[in-house]
Amino acid sequence: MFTPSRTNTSVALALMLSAFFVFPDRGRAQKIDFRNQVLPILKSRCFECHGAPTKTSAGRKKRVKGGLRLDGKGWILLGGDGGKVLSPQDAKRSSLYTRTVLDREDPDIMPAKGKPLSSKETGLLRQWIEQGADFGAWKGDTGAEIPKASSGKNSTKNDSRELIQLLDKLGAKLPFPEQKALIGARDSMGRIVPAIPGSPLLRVDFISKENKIQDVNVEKLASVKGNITQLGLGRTRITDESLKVIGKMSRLTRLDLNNTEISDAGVAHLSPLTELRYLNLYGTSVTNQGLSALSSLSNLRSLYLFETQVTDEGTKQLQTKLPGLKIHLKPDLSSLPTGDGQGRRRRRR
Amino acid sequence: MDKNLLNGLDEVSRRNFLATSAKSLLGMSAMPLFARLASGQTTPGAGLMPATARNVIYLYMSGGMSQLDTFDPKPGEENQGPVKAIPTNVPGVQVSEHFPNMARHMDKVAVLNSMRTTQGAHAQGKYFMHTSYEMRATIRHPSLGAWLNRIDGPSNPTLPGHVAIGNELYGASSGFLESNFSPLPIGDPEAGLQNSTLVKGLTEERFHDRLSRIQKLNAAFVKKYDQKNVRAYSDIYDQAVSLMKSVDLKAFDLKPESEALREAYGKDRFGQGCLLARRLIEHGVRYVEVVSDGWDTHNQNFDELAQKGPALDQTLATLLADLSSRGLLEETLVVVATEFGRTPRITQDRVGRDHFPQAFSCLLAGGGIQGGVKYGRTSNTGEEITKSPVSVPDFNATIAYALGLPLDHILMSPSGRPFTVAHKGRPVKALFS
Repeated sequence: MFTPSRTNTSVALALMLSAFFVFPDRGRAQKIDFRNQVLPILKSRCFECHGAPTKTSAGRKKRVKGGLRLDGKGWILLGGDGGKVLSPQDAKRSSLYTRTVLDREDPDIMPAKGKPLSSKETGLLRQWIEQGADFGAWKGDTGAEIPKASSGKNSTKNDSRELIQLLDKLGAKLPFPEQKALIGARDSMGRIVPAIPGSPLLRVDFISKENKIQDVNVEKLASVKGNITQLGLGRTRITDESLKVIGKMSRLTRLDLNNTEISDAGVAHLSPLTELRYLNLYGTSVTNQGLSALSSLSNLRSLYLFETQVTDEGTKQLQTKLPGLKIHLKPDLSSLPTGDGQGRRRRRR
Repeated sequence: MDKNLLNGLDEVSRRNFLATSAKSLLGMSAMPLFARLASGQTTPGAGLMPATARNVIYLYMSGGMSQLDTFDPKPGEENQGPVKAIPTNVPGVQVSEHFPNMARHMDKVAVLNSMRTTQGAHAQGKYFMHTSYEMRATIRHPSLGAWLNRIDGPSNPTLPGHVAIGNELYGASSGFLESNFSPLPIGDPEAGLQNSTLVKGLTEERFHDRLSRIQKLNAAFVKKYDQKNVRAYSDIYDQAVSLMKSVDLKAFDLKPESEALREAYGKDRFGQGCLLARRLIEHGVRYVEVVSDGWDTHNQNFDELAQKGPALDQTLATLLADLSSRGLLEETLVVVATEFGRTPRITQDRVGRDHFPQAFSCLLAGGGIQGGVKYGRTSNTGEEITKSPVSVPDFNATIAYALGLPLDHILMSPSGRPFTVAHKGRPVKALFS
């Protein structure tokens, strides 16, 4: 069905699209029975590489490919080295399915050996996932070594990294930005990417030609303001004016304003941003006074105030209100060489 | 549809996106991710994974850093020799007495004491450490910086995504990938970027005239041999020209940095190279390697380490403090790597330590890494790993995992052989918080 040739791409696309949009009857379609319809495919085409580790004739243990086992419900939900492979109800985010419908010559296609799955087989897989990936009574291998797998919907749920869990949670029920809104935001000159792959949350950086970026650029992000979670404006020419727009970005977790012209008056606009974890104000003219607006940011973890007017005294109050916050006021360089011979010795060569 | 537009990274919606909206949305520079997908530069299926690190500063201790005299001391053991161990700001973690500054920053660092490699010679060891593949006569493998830029692309389109700083830049390479993924080499960090301005007497107009002549001369060839390696070659011209014109070129200049900070980094190539690395990261260069040479201490190991240890201590502590105070450490992964360790047993005749692939130490800090961690153990004599060995591919997989590079994504060499970013290494996920 999918040939690698470019001329046939549009045909392939039409077929691909039809797979999603021409048969919207997923609710009414006959429910796929895992044991009778899906398991045989896995057994015959997947278990050889993604089953229990076997011994080779030489007696050496044969490693499970990609750290992924498919011979038990627990294993399938757990995923492999590359993360989860199954997102119930979301075939497009389940590599268990997507890897089977790549171009025949794509190096990532599964099964890696032999013929690709037939369109009937991939269709069954897709439908089964779209219907919620019900394993029925089947458990398969229940090796004690399966770590506890969550049955979460998102492919990142199993990631123990806090930052990723947070972004996953914030993006969970959020609609994707409209195409029109994205195109509008693109005019800001920022670099816009998904904050984590597959997420409706956005990361926007103004990293090139910072000295040309002004308040008008930030204004253009208003169309996607609810989707922006990470925003980098370090060293740009923005002013307090931009912070009015930024103060409405309710899902902002990371905001970098280092070395900009902002002041205490602008910082006041940030107080509604309760999801903020990271705020970089280093090199700005913020003073002790400006910090008071930040005491409502109960989730803030890192605050950068190096090269500002803020003093040790000024941070104390904020620190009492936000005990979980780490305030970076000065670099810890107290052991600089002093030229008394105790410092760096001259190297011999 | 809108979901698919953004979710451009999985295969199905990628096609969907290409079919419907690519042409209407080709604002390439503003949407590099989508643009790359549209132009097919990223191989289909290269689904990025969630990342905690965006950038890497990779510090390479060339020659084989002695683990006992740095980050895996064995106080009280005969093999330890004269170097003492000192406590750090993390209970239970000790470093050698050459690292008094780092002792106050170990809460930011994960020490891997159970590194092991299969290579005991320098060239092979460096190659393996950088690429995760053993050296072969028939192919050159890409190093991690090339992989990152190939799969995920640069943050700043006008600067190179991959830079290597130092005298002896062995290992960082684009391998079989297109040559535009090679690191930009910088010998002397204080000299800035060489040959980046127009030759005296050459006007802008004449320069462009020359460029267009080159293009004319090349046109027939490019048309006839329309393949990625040929295109990559002419891309290099375009990249060089855009770099020459880039306002971000100032990233390569150390002069705006205060003298005090330059002193603090250490006024040698490695120290200044680390300062330059920080500037480059700030301006969107994603992978910077800085090489420190001279760690091959077969002779007079303890005299050598008394020089090299404190120098590394000062530079590394300053780098971590500087990155941290500027808010860069959270997304920048700092790596201290070397090709192998050195023999715990001290050679009698030369008071040195020889090559020791069986156990050595590397460091990771920032970029989502849990600090204040000691991972893996070696025995009291230091001669064997007793807990949680980490292979070179595992180590590189850990870096790739932090960067969200898909470990199972296959790139084909021109000869049609499949390769993956860390050669099936498995990330040490316990190091992440």
